[in-house]
Amino acid sequence: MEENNDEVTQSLVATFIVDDRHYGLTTSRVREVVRIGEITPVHHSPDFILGIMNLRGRIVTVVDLGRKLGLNRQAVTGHSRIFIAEWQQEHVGLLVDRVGEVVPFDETELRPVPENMPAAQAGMLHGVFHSGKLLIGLLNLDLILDDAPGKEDRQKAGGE
Amino acid sequence: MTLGNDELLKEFLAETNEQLAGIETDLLTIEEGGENINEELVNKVFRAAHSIKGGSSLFGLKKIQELSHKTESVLDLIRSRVIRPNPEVVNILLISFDKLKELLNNVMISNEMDISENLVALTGLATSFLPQSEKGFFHKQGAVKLPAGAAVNVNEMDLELARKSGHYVYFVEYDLIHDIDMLDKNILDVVRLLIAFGKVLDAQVNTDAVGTLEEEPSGIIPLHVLFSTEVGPDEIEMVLELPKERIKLLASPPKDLPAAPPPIQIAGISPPTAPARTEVQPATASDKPAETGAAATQSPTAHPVNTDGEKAKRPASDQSGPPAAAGSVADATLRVSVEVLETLMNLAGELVLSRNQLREALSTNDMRGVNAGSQRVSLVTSELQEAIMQTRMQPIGNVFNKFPRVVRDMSRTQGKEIQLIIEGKEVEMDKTLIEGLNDPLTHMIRNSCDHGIEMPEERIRKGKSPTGKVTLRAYHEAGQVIVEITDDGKGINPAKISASAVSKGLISQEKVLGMSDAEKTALIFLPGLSTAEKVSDISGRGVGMDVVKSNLDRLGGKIEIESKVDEGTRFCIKLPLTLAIIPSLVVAVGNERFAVPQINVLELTRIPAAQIQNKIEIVGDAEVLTLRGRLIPLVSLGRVLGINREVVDETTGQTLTDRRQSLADRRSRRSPLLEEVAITGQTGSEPSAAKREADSDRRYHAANDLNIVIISTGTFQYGIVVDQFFNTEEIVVKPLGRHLKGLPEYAGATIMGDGKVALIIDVSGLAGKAGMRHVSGSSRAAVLAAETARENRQDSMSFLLFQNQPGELCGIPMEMVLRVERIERSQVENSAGRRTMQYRGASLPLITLSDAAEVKPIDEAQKLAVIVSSIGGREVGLMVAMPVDVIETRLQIDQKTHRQKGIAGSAIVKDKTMLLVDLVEIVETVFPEWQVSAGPEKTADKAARPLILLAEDSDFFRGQVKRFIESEGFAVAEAPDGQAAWELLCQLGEKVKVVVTDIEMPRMTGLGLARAIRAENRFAGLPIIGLTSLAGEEDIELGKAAGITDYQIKLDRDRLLESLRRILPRAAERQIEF
Repeated sequence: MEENNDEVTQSLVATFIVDDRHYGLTTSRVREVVRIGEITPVHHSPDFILGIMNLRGRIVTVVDLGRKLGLNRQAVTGHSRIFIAEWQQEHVGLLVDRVGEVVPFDETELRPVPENMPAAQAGMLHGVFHSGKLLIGLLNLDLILDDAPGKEDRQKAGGE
Repeated sequence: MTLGNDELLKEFLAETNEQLAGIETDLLTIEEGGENINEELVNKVFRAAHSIKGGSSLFGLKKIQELSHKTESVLDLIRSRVIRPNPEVVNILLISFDKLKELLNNVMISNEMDISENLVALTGLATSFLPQSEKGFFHKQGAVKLPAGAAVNVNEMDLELARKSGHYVYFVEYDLIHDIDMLDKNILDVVRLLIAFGKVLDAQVNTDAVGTLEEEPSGIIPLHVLFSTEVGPDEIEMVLELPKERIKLLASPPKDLPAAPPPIQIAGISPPTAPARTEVQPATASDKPAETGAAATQSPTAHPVNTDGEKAKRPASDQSGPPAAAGSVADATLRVSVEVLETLMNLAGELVLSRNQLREALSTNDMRGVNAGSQRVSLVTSELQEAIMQTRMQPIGNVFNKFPRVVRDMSRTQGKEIQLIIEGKEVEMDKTLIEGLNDPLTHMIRNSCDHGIEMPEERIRKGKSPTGKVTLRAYHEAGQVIVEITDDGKGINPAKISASAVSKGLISQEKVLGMSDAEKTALIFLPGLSTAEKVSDISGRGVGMDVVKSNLDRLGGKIEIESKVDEGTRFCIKLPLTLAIIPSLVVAVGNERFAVPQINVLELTRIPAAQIQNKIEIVGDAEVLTLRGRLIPLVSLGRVLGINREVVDETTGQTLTDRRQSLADRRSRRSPLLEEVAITGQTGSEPSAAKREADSDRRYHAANDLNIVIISTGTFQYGIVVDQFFNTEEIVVKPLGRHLKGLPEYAGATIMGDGKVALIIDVSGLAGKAGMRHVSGSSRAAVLAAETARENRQDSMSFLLFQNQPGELCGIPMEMVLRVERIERSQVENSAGRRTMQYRGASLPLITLSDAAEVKPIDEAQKLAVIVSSIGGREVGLMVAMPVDVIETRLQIDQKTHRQKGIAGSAIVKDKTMLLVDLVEIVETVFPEWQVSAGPEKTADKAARPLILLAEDSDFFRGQVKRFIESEGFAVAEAPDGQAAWELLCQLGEKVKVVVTDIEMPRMTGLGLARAIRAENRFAGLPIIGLTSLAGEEDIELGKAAGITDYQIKLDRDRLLESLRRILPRAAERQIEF
């Protein structure tokens, strides 16, 4: 897994649920969590892009995290939230089904991704760790939001 | 002095940067002026060098000081007309200023840099122009006795020059601590003061006087200045605000003035303030000298400025590393006029005030107050915004100004003659955009000079002026700033580019085969492609245009090329207004809103449901709108973007789900616009038909009208079909996130008044997305555009319009018209029942339309004109009523309704019926004895008449031409298009003696016909005459290549017949041979 300092030291992880699965992001990368407002669709965008929204005067791209992770689409409910993450000097929103707790996390607790996890998900994770009884997948934001042209083209082609 | 010294240095650097900015242009203007010295300009450059010298000496920047001093001396000599500013001289000056800039940019290590080359050049220049006797001056140092311990140097030359120009020369001693620092002045103030009153010959901080750590602190840091000024000894102390004992007169002007008494004598009475100052001295200055002294011991001689310990150390420690940050200080800061700043301050104050009002009103629930407050906030906000934008705007001239120099240098080194024309310097752009433009523009200008413009001999050989022209132009268009670089050089050869790309393995041969020339030319943006046969040191390193493109991409700009071999190349850079606020038209499709930049909007059209079928046609696969005679390709915004037209539930969850489905649905929605709109709810074959039916019903039921925004992209026009128009609003353009930046159809996003986000449409990008990119040769729109162009071209003719009777519009083809003359009625002579007039020394027969046609006779009370034409080799004048007009149009000619003698038919022009006058027929009627037509009876046997095959798709033209030809005694076989003509020819075989064919025809063009004929052996010698309404050289070339023997203009009867007569004898011979 890619080394990333702020995600492997002792830190806090904000957890959330997508398609009944538990995931987490280190709090250092999460700016805030907001309710879903009006999301304007951007046609022809990669299909994991839900659209754009207005975050206090700033245009934020909203990513459908479930789609990116290859999960089943869940209807947007009153519990749905958008995690505003910081990525390459930009704010990006991640749609989740429900917000979980913020849990402490020690890097030594990080386990490799189980072998039987689908590649679409496994490729997006730093690893997994236990918090109480829950097994939480620690997301690698940089891989999720990777916009390398080759990849995007593929995704675009798939989307059209 | 120690306080804020870095700040001072920054200020100095910022100031010098400003001064140096325009220098190149000024020097080049001086060079251009040659003998006619523009003193003002020379002074300006001189002052720049001068103040750099002054400032640098204060900061101990030895090399900068020395170089600016020498430069200044040369400029002084130019000013006094000793040196002529020829190109060599200016060159040396330019190089010196370059070096100065380099030194200033690396100010911290400038003292270690080598400037000897520049000094030698400058000194050589100065001395070579001086008379022998004065040569020594330049080098002679210390000819004047300076006070002991003075740190400055003086040369005889400076003194002499100063004296000659009526200046006094003083030696002035400032104390940096007491005279400057403690009085809250700064050293630049002093320099400005000095420069305002005269000239600083030399200035030095006297480091020896500061002493070392071991010694007692002396408490002063002396600054020695050698100052030349017109100010006499009496006033000097007032001006400089210094006690007299610190000023010493060294030289006076050589006038009859009484020799100025040595200032020391006058200085007997010290100003009363001086003692007070001495008292303060030890207390405040005690620690500072110690500190500086410490620094001085570390590097006692190498760095003259030891007044600041920090500074003295830096050069030593930075020697290996990159230049210190101070070098780039000027770039990181922005100069804003105080006025703008004041405005901003005022507005900020206003804003606070308005906020308070609003709060107050809210707390008391005073709705009127809230309204007033919010109005005020909105007002102040927009003003504030404007003011802030203003601070960032700079004229593009800041970049352009450097190019005269670039071009000049390049033309000199390459031996080319290049003229640079700059337009639109005043166009303002955001500072970051301007800075980002610098590199790409430099590269492209260099490219144009290096690869574009040919050597003078080559240009003369090509019939061009030996001086090449490079034009740099900036202007606003369609909400963008456009920068154009045009040269009239050799152009880009698409074949060469593509060949190079293939040979370098950048692209496959197959791919190239399918490319248009424009696409091939665009290959120069491929990384690693350089077509320069010889790699020069200037450009052509193969890292050129791709870097330009990526730089522009970063700025959000676009670049286009147009090039013609041997005619030149035009690069067009379009920069978006990413930082601007633009008025935009808000439109909607479904429940989604989009903003279209107003500047791209030509007009809005609503087509009522009833007219849709008339106004909208399908060409191939594309829908086009006929709008006032123009064909406008249409794009349905909903279709291109794949928007689901279903009403979306306001509950957000529902919205998201629906949109998902729409994306998937998109593929099945291939129905053309027409179907979507006109045949409401009638389709039933597709699986989603039911839903669509309901959909269409809902959308178009009310009015079924079609709303179209007519768009101009700057290069072409098209229409966007939307569901609804809203208002025009000022919107703030916000950039899209990284994942969405690559989408060409959006220029950004904006937040609407209700807080929702709307996408801004990029009209060029959308056109591209809809397959309308006019550069991509294969797209359907390009085909459409070509078809449209051809249709327009086809049979487009010029007609001379006139009136017979008022309101009775008549026309004759321009080809028939020799001249139009305005005449007086008195000029018309009536003799022997025929009208004539004296014209160019002969008698011109006059006719009127009523002579042949059954129209009312011309009203002779009106102003008259005579249309002079040549019929059957004789000139004849047609009398018409004024005014006359010329139109160029493609006509649908009706040969039946108005056909009569003298009138060939009619057509609709500008909503009126135009009678097409048949001049030949009128002449035949009036002057039967002229025997304009040889007449069929002339030839004995009808069967023996040579047969001519005539191919022409327009019935009117075919009829006209047929008549001409038959009247000359030929037989005519007609064909309505090329294919028919070919079939007919195959049938008739060798009976056909000549083929007369139109060029633009359906099924098979004239060129195709010619090729087909030439491909068959039996028709090898068959003459082909091409008929055209426009015979450009290119067309003629094409025709010749296809095998066309001769070109004639349609309806130019005489020449066509002449051509036939010329050709036919040969045709007859051919027959004998067979």
